[in-house]
Amino acid sequence: MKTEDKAERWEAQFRKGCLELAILATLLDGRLYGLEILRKLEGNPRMAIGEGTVYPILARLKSEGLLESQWVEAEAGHPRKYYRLTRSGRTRIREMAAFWDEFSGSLDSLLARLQP
Amino acid sequence: MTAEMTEEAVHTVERYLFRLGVAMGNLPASERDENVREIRAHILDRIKAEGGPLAQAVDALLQRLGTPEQLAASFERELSLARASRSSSPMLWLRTTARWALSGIEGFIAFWVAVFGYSFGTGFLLAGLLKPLFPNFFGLFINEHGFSLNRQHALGEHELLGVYFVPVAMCVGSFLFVATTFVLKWLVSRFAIAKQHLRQKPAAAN
Repeated sequence: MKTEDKAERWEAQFRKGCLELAILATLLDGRLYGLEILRKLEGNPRMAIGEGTVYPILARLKSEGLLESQWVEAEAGHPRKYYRLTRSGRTRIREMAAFWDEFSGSLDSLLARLQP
Repeated sequence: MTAEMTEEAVHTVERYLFRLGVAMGNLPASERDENVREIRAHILDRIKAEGGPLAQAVDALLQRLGTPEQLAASFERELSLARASRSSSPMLWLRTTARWALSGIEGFIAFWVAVFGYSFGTGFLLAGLLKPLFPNFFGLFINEHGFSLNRQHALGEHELLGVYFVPVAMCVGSFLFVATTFVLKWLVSRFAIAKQHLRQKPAAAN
């Protein structure tokens, strides 16, 4: 029971840490608004996150200059806030992806011992 | 196609957004309004997509966002360090590092850097300003215990610099302010992990 609790907490922490990378990655193909980013993440069951989590993170990424935003009038009747990667956002995601590759590679080789 | 919202649902949404705005009181008005506007767009899009004009559907949707106070707190948490790292305001730095200090050793160090750096800076500036008014009391005094910015009436005490203390103290004071802010900015950028801590604190508290 206790081990399960710990594993769950570990998973939550881990997911949160990766969230920033995931959010930046959803924007690689072009601009999206908050709900579209959420839906892209929700497409992967392991990526699902609290709705209240994504907007504050977007606000911070924007204030750090990794994203820029623009209000666009939509046929929906209300404007939507679209986000797009800035140049430094693209640089950042490339660095993060390189780190992730290296990190997960080393972890894989350590975990290889688990295979029967 | 477009689902008409019941009056009750509209009320619920407006009340939620109003509370959200109030709870973000510490943020600049422009940021606050923009965040509220974005959450409003999110709610309207969700309602439209799920075709749920019913009050229960709206309640469930708002529940997924968290209470307005929780949502506001996470906006403030995410934005406070990012804002301070661009700012040079000592008050903002003291507040931010005080909060950061609770989350780990890097924050604790940053907090003490802020406290010491800014108080010494203030000390020099004050002594420099007061020297012309109380020339015999303020200045750079050396005695057997070390140096002091006011007369200690200690054994072997004598004054250095004299009237030149004023420009020197002003320069040292200003330098301390600039250097402290510089070190704090460096600490924030160096210990990105500490930022992570700050973000995760409420999750751990739950």
